Amino acid sequence: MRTGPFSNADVIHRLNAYFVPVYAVNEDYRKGGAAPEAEQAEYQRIYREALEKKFSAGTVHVYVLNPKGDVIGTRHVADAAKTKELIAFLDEMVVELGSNPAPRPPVVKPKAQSVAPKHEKGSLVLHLAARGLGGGGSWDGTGENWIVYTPDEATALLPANAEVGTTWDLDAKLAARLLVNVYPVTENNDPKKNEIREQSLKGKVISVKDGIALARLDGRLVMRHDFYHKPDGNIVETGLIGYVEFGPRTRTIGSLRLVTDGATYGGGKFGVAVRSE
Amino acid sequence: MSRHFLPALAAAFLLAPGLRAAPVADDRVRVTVDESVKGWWLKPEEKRFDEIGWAADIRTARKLAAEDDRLVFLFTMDGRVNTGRC
Repeated sequence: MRTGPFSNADVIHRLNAYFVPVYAVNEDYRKGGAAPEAEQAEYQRIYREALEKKFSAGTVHVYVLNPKGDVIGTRHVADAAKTKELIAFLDEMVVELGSNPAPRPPVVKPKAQSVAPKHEKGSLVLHLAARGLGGGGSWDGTGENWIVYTPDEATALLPANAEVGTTWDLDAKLAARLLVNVYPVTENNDPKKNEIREQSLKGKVISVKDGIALARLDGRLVMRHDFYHKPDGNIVETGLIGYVEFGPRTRTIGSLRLVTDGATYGGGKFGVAVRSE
Repeated sequence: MSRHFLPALAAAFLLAPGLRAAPVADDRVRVTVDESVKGWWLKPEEKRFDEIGWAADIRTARKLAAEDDRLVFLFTMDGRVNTGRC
């Protein structure tokens, strides 16, 4: 949806001009989830009202409420994901506001929706982007993750000394926290379900100049990752290459980048890029 | 091992996923990595989702809709649509 209808200018215009758009992550709205109880109750009210009114309803769905909060229309995601159908549905709903209502600026100022989680100063914040590169095995579009290492954890990723030629193995547990996110755009996005079967990430200092050390990173990952939330035998297999710039004296990381090298999954190819922010 | 198998084994090794025919030289690592990052990073047209004025949560959306005489558009999903991991 993100790079489909929600990236379409006509959809964006309609949502901003006539609606207050909001998305709800089911994981947050389940019992024990991050959303407050009152939020969860409102989600359930909308769901139940849709059912009572004989509208379609489900966990992956579009619901439209009038200004009073009454459910006045719904669409299954399979229909909403088709841009033309979504536009037609939005236009049908807008009639509820009167004939030919004037478009207005968005009531909420648009802003970046994928942002780093809160972190302490000096943390290493890594931003990951994943995309399919052909051959299948991936949904269209792109996926993102944010991985944060505390200042102490970031230091622990570095070698004990920074002489040119020094080699070291990056802490496996810390590296795994990043590597479990190395997979293409799939339905299953629970990294806890991924099973790393082979992992290596080694560093080698290749230069020290003006007080900044540059080390190359080389590695490999083999990981079971199910496309849906049930075992399917699909495996991520890839080489890894990257670099890290750090201060040998301060033992702080200035920049880190890592990319997949020949990544395959489900019969297709994909690419993952990681950069420090 | 038969000599006939050696070329096939070598070819298989070179073609295995994640393995280059030759490792990237030290002085080419940065440019090689940066090229992939640039090529695979999200393009502006893939971030248009951010051009939508999303409310923080359902109750906020309802409150704003009531105040401004608008409709609420609620999208529920597994995973996180804001990161494309859904």
